Amino acid sequence: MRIRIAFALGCLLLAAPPARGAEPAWYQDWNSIRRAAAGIKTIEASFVQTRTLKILSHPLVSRGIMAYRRPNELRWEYRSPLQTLLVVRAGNLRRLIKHGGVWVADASAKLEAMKIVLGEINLWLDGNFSSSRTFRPELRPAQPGQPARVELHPVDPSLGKIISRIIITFAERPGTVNAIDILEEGEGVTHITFEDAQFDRAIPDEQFEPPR
Amino acid sequence: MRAILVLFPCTIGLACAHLPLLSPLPAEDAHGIATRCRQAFPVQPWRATHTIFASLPFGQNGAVVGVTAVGSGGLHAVLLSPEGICLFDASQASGAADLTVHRAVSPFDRPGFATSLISDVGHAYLPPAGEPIAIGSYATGETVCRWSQAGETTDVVLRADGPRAVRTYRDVRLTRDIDLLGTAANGFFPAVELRVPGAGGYQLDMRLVDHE
Repeated sequence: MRIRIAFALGCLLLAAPPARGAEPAWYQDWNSIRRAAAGIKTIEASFVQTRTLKILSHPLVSRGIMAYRRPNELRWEYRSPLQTLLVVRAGNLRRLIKHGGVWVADASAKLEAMKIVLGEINLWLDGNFSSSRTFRPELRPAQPGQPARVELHPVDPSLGKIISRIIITFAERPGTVNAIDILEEGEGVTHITFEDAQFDRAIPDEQFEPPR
Repeated sequence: MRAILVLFPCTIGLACAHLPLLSPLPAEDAHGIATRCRQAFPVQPWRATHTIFASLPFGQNGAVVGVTAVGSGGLHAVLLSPEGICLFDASQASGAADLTVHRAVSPFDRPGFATSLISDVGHAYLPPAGEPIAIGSYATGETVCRWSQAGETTDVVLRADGPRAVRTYRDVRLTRDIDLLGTAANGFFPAVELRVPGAGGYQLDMRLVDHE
C-alpha cells in the first residue's frame, strides 16, 4: 500500500518549476486547488528521488520519468537503479519489473491493501484532497521561506506506522507541485523533485499500456 | 516402468548423500589458496547498496533495494521499495544469535523472513569464521576451500580468475548456491545470484549499486 501511495502522490498534481510572475492564489483553499488541477490535461516530466538512511553516508538516488493524462491515466517509471514500471489506465493498474531485459509482473501489485489507495488516486489527480478517506489533509499557507503545501496524515493507524506524513509542496504554476516528501515513522525521508515538465502535449496511448 | 521411477529418485538420493569430494592439493599451496578464497567476500567494515530481484515460487516476483552495513558492531540490513519506503529493517550484533527487527512491513513480517534474509546476506557477503578445514579440488578441477561449523559446510569455489561460487550445505543437503559474477572490486562483485533449492526455494539476483 505504501508503495502505491508514493505513486499516487507522484501523479497527483505533478511537478513543475515555479513560473515567474504567476499568481500564487490558486492554492488558497481546496476549491481553488481543485480548479487549478483541472486546468492541466497532460504532464510529462522526469523525476529525481532521494532517500536518506542513517546507515548510508550518501542518500540513495533513484531516477525516472512520469506521464499523466487526465482524467486517470498514469505512467510512473523508475529507470535507475531499479527498473520498474507502473501504468494505470481505465482503472486497471499494472506493475512490472525489468529483469534480464524483459518486463515481468510484480507480485506486489496484487497487494489487497493497495486497492484502498488506488481508490484515492482520482481524488488526488483532481486536487481533491478534502474528499480523501485515507488521508486527513491540512493546507499550510505559504510563509516566508516556505511555499504553500498540503500535509497528508494517515487516517488508519496501521498505515500511520508506515508513513507518518506526506508533504506536497506547491509550485507557483497553478495545479502543479515542486516536491513531495514522504516521512516515515522513525528515520528516513523520501524526497521527490520533478524536472523538465511539459504540459498539455499529446501523449500516445502506448505510454499508459504495459510494454508488449 | 514403475521400477525405473522408484530407482531414479533413489539413485539421485544416493548421489547426493555426501558432500562433493575434494582431492587434496599440495599443502604448500594452502595458504595462498585460502587467501584467494577469502576474496569472495568484502573486507569489513563496509556498506553497500544492491538492487535485488527475487524470483519466488508460483511466479511471485518482486524487486527491492537492499542496503547493508557490516562492521565490528554487527550487521544491519534494510530493504526499501523502489519508491523508497522502508519495508524491512533488522540488525544482528556481532556474535549474537538473535536478531533485532526494527521494522517489518507485510509480507516481510512473516515468520522466518528476518532469519532467512540475514542468513542470505551472511552467506553471500560474510566470510566463514576461522580457517578452512580442507582445501582441495572438485572432480571438475575447480579449486575449493571448505569451512565447516555447527553442521554447516561452506565451499568457496575458485577458478582461474578468482572466486566464482559459494555453496553451503546443511549436513549433506545443498542449502544455498551462490554465483559471483563479474570482476570484483574490494570483494564486491557487480552481480551475485543466490539460489535456495527445493520446495519453497527462491532466487535472488543482486546487482551492486554502490559500496563504501
